[in-house]
Amino acid sequence: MEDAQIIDLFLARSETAISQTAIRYGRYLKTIAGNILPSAEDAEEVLNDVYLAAWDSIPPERPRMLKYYLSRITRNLCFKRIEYLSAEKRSGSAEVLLSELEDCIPDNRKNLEEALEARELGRSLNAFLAGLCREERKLFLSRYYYARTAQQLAEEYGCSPRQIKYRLEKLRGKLKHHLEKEGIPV
Amino acid sequence: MKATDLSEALNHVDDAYLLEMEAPEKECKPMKNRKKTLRMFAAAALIALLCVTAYAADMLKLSSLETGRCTHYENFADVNRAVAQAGLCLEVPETLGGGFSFRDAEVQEVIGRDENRKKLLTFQELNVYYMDPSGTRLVFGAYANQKGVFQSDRAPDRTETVNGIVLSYRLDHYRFMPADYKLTDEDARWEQQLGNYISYGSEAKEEEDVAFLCWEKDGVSYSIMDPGARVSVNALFSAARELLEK
Repeated sequence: MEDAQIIDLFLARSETAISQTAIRYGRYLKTIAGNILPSAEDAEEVLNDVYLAAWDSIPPERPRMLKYYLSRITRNLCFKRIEYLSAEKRSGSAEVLLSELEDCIPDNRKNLEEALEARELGRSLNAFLAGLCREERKLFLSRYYYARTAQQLAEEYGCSPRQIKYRLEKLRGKLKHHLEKEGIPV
Repeated sequence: MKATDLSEALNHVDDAYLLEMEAPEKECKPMKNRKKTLRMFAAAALIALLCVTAYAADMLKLSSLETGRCTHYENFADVNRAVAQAGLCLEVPETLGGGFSFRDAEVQEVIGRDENRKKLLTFQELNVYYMDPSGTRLVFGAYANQKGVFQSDRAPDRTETVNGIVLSYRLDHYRFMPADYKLTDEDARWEQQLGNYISYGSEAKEEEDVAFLCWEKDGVSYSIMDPGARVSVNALFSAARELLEK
């Protein structure tokens, strides 16, 4: 079933919307959740929450691209789950990913009130991505949006995980420089 | 700020970048070309729509039109800035009927020159780009009416009146050529036919139908452009009615 038809089902409050979403995007969303979360059970649980969140948010939302809308919900719920698991000290690979992102942040203050809002930061990230070549953009998003590991990326790119990590480190350096240039307080 | 803030901000990454990741390398170039072609359509179509009146040709000595600077706006939150830059006062919707959603917007400068290339007039046109989930695009355009300077060069294919405002539909045919392309006899004959236009500047020879729905209201000229004429005529009229009733 096409996106527009699935969205129409959500809008019409038909529960078929959820099963059709699962058929069309279940595997894709499960991969994202599996990349972020430490266990298949956690991923499975989050996936059910994703469908519920989509049900609760459409309407009033009417996503332009259902696939990426669902991917965002999945990431959000996964990182919420990570927060919970971090408290339990069981978060696994996501902690590594977040510690890498910590490198890019010029401001090490922990006060959220002093930080840019996510939307504003998102705008800045889009500007950063626009300045990258397609290959760099794909690598950056593969790691930091889809949470794929260096090992997975090395297999895809036909190089060593060390080379992937080096390229990611350079990209994080560029991002840090970009955020500083955009006026994020150091 | 924490790394989780940055991770959260990644949720605002433009869909286009996520879509790009899924496109095979070889498809990337045509995608860019399509976007470029769309912008060329918008620019060329605007100029084709704006035929200089006899008055402007005689009194102003206006002999040619061309596009100048273009300012691009990626976020819907910036649309009001674009509207203001175009010198307009109107409300741009985030969605159009038929599942079309805002993609981006731009303000395009249009320059009128005399035979000696002297600049006689400039004005700004607002173009707002929409796309539906299947990738079909519509362009909503608006510019402050240049009264007495421009006119339509041919009768519309269909009209409809909504609240006293006449909506005119026409279907045109475009050939885009590389800048150094030399017209063949066939091209020249083709261009002579009503509704056929040739424009230069593309990377390769391209040909496409373009549908327009135009109207005027409160001193502003509006249009909805359907590059590729992929949307039904009734759906275009419906989108225009929706805009007029807002």
